[in-house]
Amino acid sequence: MKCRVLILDEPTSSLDDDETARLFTLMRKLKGEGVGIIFVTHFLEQVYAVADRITVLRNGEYVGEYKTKDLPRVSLVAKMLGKDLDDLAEIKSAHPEHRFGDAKTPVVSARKLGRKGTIKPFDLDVGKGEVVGLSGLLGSGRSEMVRVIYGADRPDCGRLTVKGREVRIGSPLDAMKLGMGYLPEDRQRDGIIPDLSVRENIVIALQAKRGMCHLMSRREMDEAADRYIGLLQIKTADRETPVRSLSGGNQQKVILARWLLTHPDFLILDEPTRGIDIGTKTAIQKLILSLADGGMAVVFISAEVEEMLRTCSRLVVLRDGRKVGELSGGELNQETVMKTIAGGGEENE
Amino acid sequence: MSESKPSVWKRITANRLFLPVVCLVVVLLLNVIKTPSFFQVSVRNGVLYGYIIDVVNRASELVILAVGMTLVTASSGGQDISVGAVMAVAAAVCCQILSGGQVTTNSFRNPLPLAILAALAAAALCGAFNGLLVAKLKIQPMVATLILFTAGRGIAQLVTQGQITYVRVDTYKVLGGYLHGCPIPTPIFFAVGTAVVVHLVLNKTALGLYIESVGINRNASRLVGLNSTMIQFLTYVLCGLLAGVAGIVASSRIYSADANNIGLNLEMDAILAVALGGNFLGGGKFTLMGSVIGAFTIQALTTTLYAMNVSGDQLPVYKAIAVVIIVTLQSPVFQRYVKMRKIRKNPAAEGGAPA
Repeated sequence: MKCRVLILDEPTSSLDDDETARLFTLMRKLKGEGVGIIFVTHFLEQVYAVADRITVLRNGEYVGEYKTKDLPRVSLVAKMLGKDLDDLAEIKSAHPEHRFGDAKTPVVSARKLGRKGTIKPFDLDVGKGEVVGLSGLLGSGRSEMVRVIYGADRPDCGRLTVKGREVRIGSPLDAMKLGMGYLPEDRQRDGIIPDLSVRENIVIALQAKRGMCHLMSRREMDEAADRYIGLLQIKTADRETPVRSLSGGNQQKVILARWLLTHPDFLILDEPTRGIDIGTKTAIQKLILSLADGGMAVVFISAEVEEMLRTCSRLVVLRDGRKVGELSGGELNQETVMKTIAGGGEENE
Repeated sequence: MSESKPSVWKRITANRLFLPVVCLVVVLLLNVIKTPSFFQVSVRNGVLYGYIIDVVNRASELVILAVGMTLVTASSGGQDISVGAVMAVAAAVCCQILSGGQVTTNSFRNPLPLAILAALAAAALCGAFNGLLVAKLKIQPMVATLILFTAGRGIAQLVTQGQITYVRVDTYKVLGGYLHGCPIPTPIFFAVGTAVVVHLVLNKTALGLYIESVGINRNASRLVGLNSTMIQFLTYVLCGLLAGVAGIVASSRIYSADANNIGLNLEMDAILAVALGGNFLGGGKFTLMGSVIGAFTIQALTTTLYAMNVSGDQLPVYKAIAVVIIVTLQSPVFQRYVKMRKIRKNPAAEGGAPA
């Protein structure tokens, strides 16, 4: 069969560097033979390695088509995120109201931690009272990074130190016993337990920590549930209502309550404000800041860069499955973040 | 949210045990219509007699199986179809040890406790085998348990060396018969005891909550620190163990180990009992009480059908029809249809419950 147009949809997601290079060689050969190739990908470097023209889509809408040599990396990132590059330079950097964080004594410290196929080996320190943000495009490896720290995915290499001691995390329960908590990105698939009640969803993590033979008393469960329903303003008819009847925002609050109940020292929040109304979003951001004030170490992932700039004291930037930079202090503004995400420094204007 | 307190009737019908109880009542009524003396109980020779006593007595093995099946269904969303065969294995091990390898015996060649423990261990081992396949190797439950469903009776035959082993000892017959001086048949005690013990274990520890959680969302359960694999494995071991108990009771009734007939087709009845009890066959929240009610319903239904002169071969057809009806009623498509009808009738009362 002689093919005239070849559509490749995310062909490199499960390939390593060598295999990707071989694919590109093949693609260039086909190009030479006159085959037209549509290459769908979210990997920035790969786009600049093989593409002649780039079409940008955002939220289901067509943004534009550009010749690769005319589109500097930063502009591409800006278009993907829906920002106007000229405006960015005008916006003053948003200093978080609090200057906090004790970066010198990290609660969690990762060295060369990585997992083949998802996240390249990285170093990360998160200190008491710090809010560290993970920033990057979709598919850059942010969720994969936190999952490997929490033990949701097993790391292939590297060392993890928690509160000064080197540890081996074999399962989420190990991480929880070390004082970690993890609010997952996909609330439907990994977060809520739909048919269980609000009360059961809130207490389940603490119960798992306590162990099967130490069932929490009904009274303790009721008190805990009521406390967080009040604290987080969770709108529910009753604490026995199945959690699937709640709105998305309230479901998210339930999962947040679940982890807050365990009083973690280190809390990972992966897209806690996705799909939530603006009022709740602000409330959650304020909550994150107050938790950090109280000494909790927080890792915060959000697709919205402004949100992170408002809450984080440090920003770790990822691209194409690896950590490419760390920003703090004066670097915490949209422009610098974009440039770091984009990379390829010399081309920026 | 302000709402008027629902009426007593509404609360009764909303209770998840409502439909199972209704089914049981319907079947009992059918029985009474066919056999007016159905509920009559008399005492003869110091022992209770009557149709209803018979139903409750013969339902015992089914109740025990249904309890195990409920747990397996709840945690893995699948069913264990090997329970009948595992009953045969347990019976075979028990009788073979008691008879010391002989085809028939008039006295215990080995101590009874040893035989019973060995039988239960064998049954639990079968459960562990199933559990390994389903929980660890992630094989579909019905496919995994198909192995013992097919091979179990063969294994039982091997244990009894191809014969039906008889244990003609009064002490053994007691397990399926009557304790000295007690008018109530012993199997009923086993059934009640099993249900109570399992209920206590599930509710005094977090195991009940864990099983529901794992059955509803295995991923999320793992991320909150539950060992989903171990919990599923445990339910299969328990199911096997309980099948062992049922097997010993069944074998005691006929004081023998008939590898071909003990527990025959009981797996279908057990699944039906779980479904009739209002448990969702796809896993998740469960009710033991529902399954127990379901077991009694099935047994009473069997009695009705026999009274209507339905032959033993045709019985499964009627039961299969019942399963189809129940599964349809539980299906998401039907549930949505019912919900839509309720909303159309009562738009105000439903009040916007956002998704």
